[in-house]
Amino acid sequence: MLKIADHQFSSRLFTGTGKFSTSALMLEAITCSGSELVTMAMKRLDLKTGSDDILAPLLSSGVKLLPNTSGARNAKEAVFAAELAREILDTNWIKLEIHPDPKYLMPDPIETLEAAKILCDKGFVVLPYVHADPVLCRRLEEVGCAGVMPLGSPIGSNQGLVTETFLKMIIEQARVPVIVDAGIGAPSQATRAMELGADAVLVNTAIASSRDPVAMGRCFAAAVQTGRDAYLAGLGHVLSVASETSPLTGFLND
Amino acid sequence: MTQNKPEHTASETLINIMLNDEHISVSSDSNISGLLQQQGIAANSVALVRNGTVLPKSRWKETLCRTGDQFEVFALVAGG
Repeated sequence: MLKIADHQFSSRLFTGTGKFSTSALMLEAITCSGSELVTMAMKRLDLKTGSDDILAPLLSSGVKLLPNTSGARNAKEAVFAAELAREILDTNWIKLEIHPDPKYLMPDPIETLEAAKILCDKGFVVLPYVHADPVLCRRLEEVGCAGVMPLGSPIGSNQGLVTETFLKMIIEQARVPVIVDAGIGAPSQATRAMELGADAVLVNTAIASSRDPVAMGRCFAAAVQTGRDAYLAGLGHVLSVASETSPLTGFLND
Repeated sequence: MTQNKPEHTASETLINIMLNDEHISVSSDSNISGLLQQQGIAANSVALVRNGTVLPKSRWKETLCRTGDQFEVFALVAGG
């Protein structure tokens, strides 16, 4: 079982709720993925059109909701967003996201660390979305973050684990759960992240933008489980030279 | 004992406030819960910011709208 703060998860696949063509499809895909932690964003309510009305069905589905601070451009805005989210959901869990650059959505490490300090001091369970920076992840752990969420590649890009070398370092060093977030575009990439020893992965676009999100949700569930099982089974060593699997008796040359 | 609702008479005072950038007139004795109800906003799924500060739900009943108040209402939406 995966434990983050005081909460236990039997699924190591976390999912986002964005980009689905309909709310019904999103709900079905999430249900079929087995995900128990689901992210949501926040915005000012449009008084004319009202809200998406996806909150009630998500709450009744029993998943734990993880609000994010997407849209925050600095620490101050992120702290404010976290306080809003706590008001709405009565939860102190927050996915801390600060990415002011709209093209690549790269998280701002300085503002993120600053916001993390403040939010941890205020009693939030902080899960920061960060670049795959091992040094930053340690700093975030030191200020009290409940986990770290390094990216595999840019948000929504489906490019996979571009940062694999650095994810390995983060996983090796971390004493809090590591959730590989952003960029995972295929179940095989989720498997890889789990084989490396990630504690969980967060997937949104790869499921939502697939031709059949419900089926893809199931694929990711299986992929994450396979990767976890492989990690526990222990991968063999990678060698730079061959290592015989059959005895080289040399009898053909006798 | 019967609890009478406050009577709204011709002398009732209306005040102007801002709600998510829209001008709105409300009774001067409106509290925040009443304001949201009047606007058809489901109170259990939003957070409210009053003049730049988050106003906790626990204080919505006791807090009256004041002339010139600027309110912002936030809700959760789909996201990753």
